[in-house]
Amino acid sequence: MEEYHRHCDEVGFNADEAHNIVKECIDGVLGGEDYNYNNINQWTASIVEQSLTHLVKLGKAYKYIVTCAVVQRSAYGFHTASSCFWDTTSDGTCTVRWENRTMNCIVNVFAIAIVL
Amino acid sequence: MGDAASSSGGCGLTASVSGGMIYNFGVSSASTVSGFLRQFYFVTFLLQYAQILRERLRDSFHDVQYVEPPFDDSIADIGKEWKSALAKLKFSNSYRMEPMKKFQAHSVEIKIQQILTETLKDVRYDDKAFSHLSLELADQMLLAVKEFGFHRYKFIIKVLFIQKTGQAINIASRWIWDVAWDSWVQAKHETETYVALALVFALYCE
Repeated sequence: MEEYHRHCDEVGFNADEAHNIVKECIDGVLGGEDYNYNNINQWTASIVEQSLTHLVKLGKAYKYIVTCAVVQRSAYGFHTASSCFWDTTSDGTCTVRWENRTMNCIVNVFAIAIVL
Repeated sequence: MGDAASSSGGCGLTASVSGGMIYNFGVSSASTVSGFLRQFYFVTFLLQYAQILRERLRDSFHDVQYVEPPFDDSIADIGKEWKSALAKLKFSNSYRMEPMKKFQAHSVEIKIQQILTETLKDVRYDDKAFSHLSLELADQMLLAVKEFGFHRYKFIIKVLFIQKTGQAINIASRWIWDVAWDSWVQAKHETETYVALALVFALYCE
């Protein structure tokens, strides 16, 4: 047991993989759709749940937090900031911004390493 | 950018395929009938696929911004060297199965709400000021949460400002963590012109 070394965490969080996964999930759920008040709850929930499921399938020893904000497209101001206290060598984050004619979508993934 | 590349690739494919089809008609006499039919089906499938892809992604574009743990490569190398050196040292087991002081969501929520209300009392929405203010608030909240003294906890603070202009917004979060020790709190501050939302996630580093 003492001989076990954490090989995956030496390279840190792979943001490229995460952004591909998230981009595919968003395209699958919101691609070609217009903003619809009735479906919006369902869409945000499914984007987040699908991204999370696919991230977990990567099989790495990470805890994940996925946040998604979908806004109807109009003239509005939106600011978001995040501040994190973690181990910078093994933990990371990834943000994907997606938009179409009627909506803006921002998905944020935080990955925290589990020390085994 | 990635989307633009894929759509132009689709157009290129169509052009070459239609050119190929014409060529195949001329050659069909030399090949068998079944071979020709297979090629024909494959070609029509490709045409349809490119068409579907283009339609689905029409009017949408996406953009990726991410911050990896280090901001540029030099810092990354330093961190990894140190980290790999550390991995060679073997720490003795602490035999601690749970945190010394479990994350108290209630007291943190009160503190976060207090910071939010105090900072944003009588502040009107202002584009330039708010981008700076959001970062400042996030840092301030991080310091406050650290002061509570929860050992071995990692924190993530998210601050969102949404201007009220009659549009709808929907925010959802999901997570995978250890339900026994990890938790989150939220605080909201609403005024006439904007809504401010603060989310604090606390994760135990096992």
